[in-house]
Amino acid sequence: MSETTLKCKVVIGGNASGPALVTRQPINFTAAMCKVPNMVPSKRAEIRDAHHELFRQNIRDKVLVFPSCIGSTHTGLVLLDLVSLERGPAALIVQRNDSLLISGVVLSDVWFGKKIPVVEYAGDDIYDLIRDGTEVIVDGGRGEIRFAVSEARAVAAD
Amino acid sequence: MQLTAEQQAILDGSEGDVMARCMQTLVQYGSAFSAPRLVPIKSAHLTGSFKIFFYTAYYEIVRQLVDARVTVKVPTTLNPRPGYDYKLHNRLIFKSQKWHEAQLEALGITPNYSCVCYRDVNVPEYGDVLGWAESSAIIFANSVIGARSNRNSIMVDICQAVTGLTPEFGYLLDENRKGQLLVKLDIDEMDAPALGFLIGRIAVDRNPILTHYPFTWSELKNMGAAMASSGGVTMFGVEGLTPEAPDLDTAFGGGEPEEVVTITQDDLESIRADKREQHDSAMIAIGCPQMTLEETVEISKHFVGKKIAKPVSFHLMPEAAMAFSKLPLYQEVLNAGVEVYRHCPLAGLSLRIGIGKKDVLTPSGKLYYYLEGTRYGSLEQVLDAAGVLDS
Repeated sequence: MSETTLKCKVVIGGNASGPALVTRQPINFTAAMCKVPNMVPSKRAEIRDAHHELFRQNIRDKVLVFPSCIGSTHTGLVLLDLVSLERGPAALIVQRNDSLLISGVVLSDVWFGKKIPVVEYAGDDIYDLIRDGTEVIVDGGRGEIRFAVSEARAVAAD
Repeated sequence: MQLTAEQQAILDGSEGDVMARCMQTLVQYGSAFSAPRLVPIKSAHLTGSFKIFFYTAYYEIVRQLVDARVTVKVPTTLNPRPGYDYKLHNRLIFKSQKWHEAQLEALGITPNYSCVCYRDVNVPEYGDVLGWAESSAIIFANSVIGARSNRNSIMVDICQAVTGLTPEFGYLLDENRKGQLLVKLDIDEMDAPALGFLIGRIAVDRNPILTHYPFTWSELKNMGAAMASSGGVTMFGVEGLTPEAPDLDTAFGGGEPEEVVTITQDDLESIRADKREQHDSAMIAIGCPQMTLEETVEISKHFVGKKIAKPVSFHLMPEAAMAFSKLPLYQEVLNAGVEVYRHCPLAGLSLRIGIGKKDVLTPSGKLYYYLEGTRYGSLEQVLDAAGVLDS
């Protein structure tokens, strides 16, 4: 095992770490979260979008790695609550940032003083390097994504 | 970001702490996209019309605005009601709905309660800069009207309405409005919502340009809404039909598309449920985005003198519902057994099927994406499942 560092663009600063949850499929946070199972008082943050491969996965405390954010302008409602109530992902690593993804995090920061790091990393090699469960550190100060990776996987991604 | 003296003063608290935070929200939002400045908007449209009982932070911010007596600076419309007058359990779950509506009306919004605001209450002109939320309205304004709005989030929309400003980036700029993906159509029978659903999946967040097809106004509405659900499409073009795509060369800004795809009749069929599933569905919902008067009249003709085989609900824009209720056709539709509503089908039905898990059949690409346990059928197939299609 060796530590790998990827340079990333910091969209919203901060430091966080956690196990990765990885998908190559764009996420519609409204379709994923605005569902009855997440609304019962259970503090769940489960993806309940039946069109998505992460169906029924819990994103709480995960470092979510995904290509982009699609769908409804209610995205901000969802992320604002998840971030301000500390019920959501630890950090977001996205290939292409967009206006809806960051809004909930900005709102949480401005109105409630709580935020999570959001960083942009465009390369597809991230899917070879980071797998579900990989412990990832998002370092917004240095603009780095750090994680331990097996030698075989690092070579495969070269 | 470079602010004017007046904007800086608001940020520093000249209009109070709440307005300062609204300005701070726009500054941080814009800074994430390196926006150089804030620019005036012609109008706003708000998405957050539902009081969803589980969520709290958005409503807390709105409460702070109302308590500080902040009001909108530009004409501002609002999304549909969730249907609190619908069934008993919805009344319980949406018990705070009336309070929330009063809060938004206290901000000075126009209580149109429609996601199709661009039909007759908040109609932009070509080139207008808008601070809109509601993905289906944004894509229509950008694509079909040629106005300019980014996909703005819930609550950011209110910050824009009360300041009359939006950060200048993204779809406000010419360079981001060019086509990226060319979509060739090889289709015998148009099914615009299904086409939009497929294009959203392929385009994701790129601008698709479709080869010419004479889509109707309603087809453009329903197709765009689907693209903005299965994808994050903010703007599309149709060759020779939409204002910024008079021809393919102009639509692509003189450049080449980065990808060319062809969508066939078989592709459209692929998202439709099979006939047995369609006929097994427990109910049918039509109108997401809400139906216009023309759509309602066109669909209603099929129901004259018939009895529906399963529950069917129509969801109309409030203005359309008012006009429709004065036509003889309205009574015919009620006689057939149709339920005619003015609220959003998604909100009411989310809870209805959340409890019963009954399948809903719909010809709406957007509702098909968002509502759990939903099947898609073309309008013709849905009318067949409703038992009203003449063979």
